[in-house]
Amino acid sequence: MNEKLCRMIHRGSEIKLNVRPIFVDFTHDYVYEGPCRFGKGDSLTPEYDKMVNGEIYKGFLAVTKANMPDFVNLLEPVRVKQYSDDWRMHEDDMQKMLINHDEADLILWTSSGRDLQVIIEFARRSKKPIAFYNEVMFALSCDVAALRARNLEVYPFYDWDKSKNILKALQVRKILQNTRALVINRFATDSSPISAQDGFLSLEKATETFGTHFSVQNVHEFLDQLTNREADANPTMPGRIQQNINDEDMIEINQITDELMDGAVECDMDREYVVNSVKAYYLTKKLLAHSDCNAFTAPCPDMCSTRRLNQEKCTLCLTHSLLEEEGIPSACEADFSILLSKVILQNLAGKASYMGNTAWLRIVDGKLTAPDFSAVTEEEFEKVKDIPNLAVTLHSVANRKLKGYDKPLEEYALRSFAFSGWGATIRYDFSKDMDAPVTLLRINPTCDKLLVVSGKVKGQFGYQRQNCSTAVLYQVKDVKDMYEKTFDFGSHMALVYGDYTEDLKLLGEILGLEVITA
Amino acid sequence: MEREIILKRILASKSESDFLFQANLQHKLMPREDLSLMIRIFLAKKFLLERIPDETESIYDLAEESLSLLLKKDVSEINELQSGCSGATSAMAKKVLFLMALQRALNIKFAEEAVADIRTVESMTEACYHAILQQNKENGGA
Repeated sequence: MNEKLCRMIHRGSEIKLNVRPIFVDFTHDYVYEGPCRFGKGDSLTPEYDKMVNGEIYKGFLAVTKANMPDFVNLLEPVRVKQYSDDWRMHEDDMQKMLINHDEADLILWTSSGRDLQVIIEFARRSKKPIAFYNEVMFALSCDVAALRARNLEVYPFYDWDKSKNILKALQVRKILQNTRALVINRFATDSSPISAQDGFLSLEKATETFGTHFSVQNVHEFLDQLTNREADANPTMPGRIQQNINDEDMIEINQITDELMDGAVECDMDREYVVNSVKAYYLTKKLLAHSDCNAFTAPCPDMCSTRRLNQEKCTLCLTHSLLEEEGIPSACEADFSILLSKVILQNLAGKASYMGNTAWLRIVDGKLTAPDFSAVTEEEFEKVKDIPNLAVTLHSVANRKLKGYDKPLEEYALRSFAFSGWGATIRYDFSKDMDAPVTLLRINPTCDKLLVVSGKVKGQFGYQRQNCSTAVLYQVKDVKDMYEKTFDFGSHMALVYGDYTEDLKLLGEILGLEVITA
Repeated sequence: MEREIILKRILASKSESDFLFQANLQHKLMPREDLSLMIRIFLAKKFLLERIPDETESIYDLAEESLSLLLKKDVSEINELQSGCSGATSAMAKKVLFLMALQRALNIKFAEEAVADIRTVESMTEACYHAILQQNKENGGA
C-alpha cells in the first residue's frame, strides 16, 4: 500500500494517553508529637521529612514507570515542595503544577501527607481527571470520596491490573474524541431514511456524547471519482479538482488485486470485478487522507438504488474489510452506532471487528425456522442444530485480522456479493474457531446506553456462498433475553474475538452510559 | 522481657560503634576499604545484624531484615508495619534514620536529593567517601 497514503491517515489506535505524575511533598516545620504526629528522635525532624519525601517520590516514579502500559505516554513529572503543617497553599506551587496541563489527559497524583485541599483546588482549576496512587490504602478512600462528592473526575489506583484497565478505557475515550468519520451520504439527513434508521437519532448528540466528528461527502461526488479521468472533469463538480483514481493509483490497485486473488484459498471471481472493488477501497483511502479522517461509513442501500454501483460493478464490502484490517473502523449502511461501536471494540481489543444483522437463530423441532436461511447446507446446519441459545450475526464484511492486528493474516476465500459476479467479499470460515469467546456491542439510538453481548463461537453459515451471507453463530447465556434487549438498540452488532464485557462495563461508567448485558 | 534484652543490645551497640568511629576518625582520610568496613560494622551494629553485610547488598533489604529481627516478624510483613500516613515504608524510614546517624557519626552532610539514590551499601560508602573528601578539601586538609 502507498506508504505516504497510509501515513497521512492518523489512526485512532496511534493515539496515546498522556499521563503526568504529580508529587506534593509534605513536611513538618517543627519537632513535636501529637495526635497526628508519630515518632521520636530524628524521625520528628524536618530533615527526616525531607529525606523520606525523596524516598517516597523515587519509589512513586519507579513503580509508575514499571506499570505504565505502552499506550501511555508518561509526561515529565512535577514535584512541589513547599506544602507543610502551616497548611498554606502556595500559588507558585499551584502554577508549577498547572504549567502545560493541557498536554495531560490524566494526572497521576500522590503525596506524603495531608494535601487534600491542594488536590481539590488543582482539580477544580485544571479540570483534568485525576488518578490517585498511594501505598496507604485508607488515604485513597478519603481522597476519592472527597473529589467524587464534588463531581470531580477521579480514579483510585490501588491495583495495577485494574488501573491498566482504567487507563485503557480512558485511552478509548480519547480515541472516540479524536475519531473523524468520513460519511458518504445521499440525503441531507442525520440518519439515512433507507439504511440504518435504528442508528443515532442525531449526529449532534453523538458528537456531544463521544466527541466524534462527522465529515459528510456526497455519494455522487464519491462515485464520480472512481472514474480515471481528469481530476477537474467530474460532472458533479465541474472545474473543481478532486481525488479521482489515476494511472499511478492503478499500478497499486493492480498489485493489491493480485495479492488478494493469489492469497485466497478459493477465488470465484473474475479479475476485472476484483479490480473494481479495490478501486473503491483505494479511492476511500485517498478521501480519508484528503479529509483528515480516520473512520468510514457509507449507505449501501441508498447508493444501490442510484443504480450506479451496478453500473460501476462494485460494492463497498471489500473496502470495509480492508480498512478494518488496517485499524481504520469502517461500517456498512451508514450505521453510525456500529461505527463507534467498532472504534471502541477495536481499540479495546487490538483486533479488527466484524459486524452484521443479529438475531436469535430459532430452531424448532430440529428445523431452522428463523431467520430464513433457505440456502443453509445440511452439513452446516447439522453441526449446530442441537445447540441451545444460538444467536447469529451476518453480513459480508469479514476480514483477516479478527484475531489481532499483530497476528498473521487468516485464511480466506474471495467471492462476489452480486450473483452476477461483481462486488468482491472476503469470506471467513468462523467454524474453525469453535468455542472462541466473542463480544458484541451496540450503542442505542439516543447515545445513552451500551448493549454488550458475550458468547462462544459454535459454527458458521455462508462461507461457500455469495451475497450478504457470512454468518457467525455463537451461543449466549439466554438467546431470547438477548434478542429482546436488541429491540431497544437495533439490528446490527459489532463483534470482536475475546471477552471484553468487564472492559465495556468500565468504559460505560467512564462515558456515563448505562450498560445492558446479555 | 525479650524486648528489654533487645533494647539493651541496641544501647550497648550504639556505645561500641561510637567508640569505633571516635578511634578511627583520628585519621583525616582513611582508605576507602577501611571506611567501607567501618560503615558496614556500624550498619551491622545499628541493624542488629549477626553478620557484616557486603557492599552489594541493598540497604532496604538489610532494613527489612533488621526490622524482622527487632520485631520477630516475617520479612514479608514488614511493609505493613509503617507507623505514619506518609506512604513511606518501614524500610525507607529505617534507611533514612540510619543515614542521619551516619551523618552525625562521620560529621558529614548528604545532599538531600542524593539520599534517595543511595540504595546499596556500596553507594552509601561512595557517598560518605566523597562527602569526607569534600569536607577535607574545604577544611584545607590532606
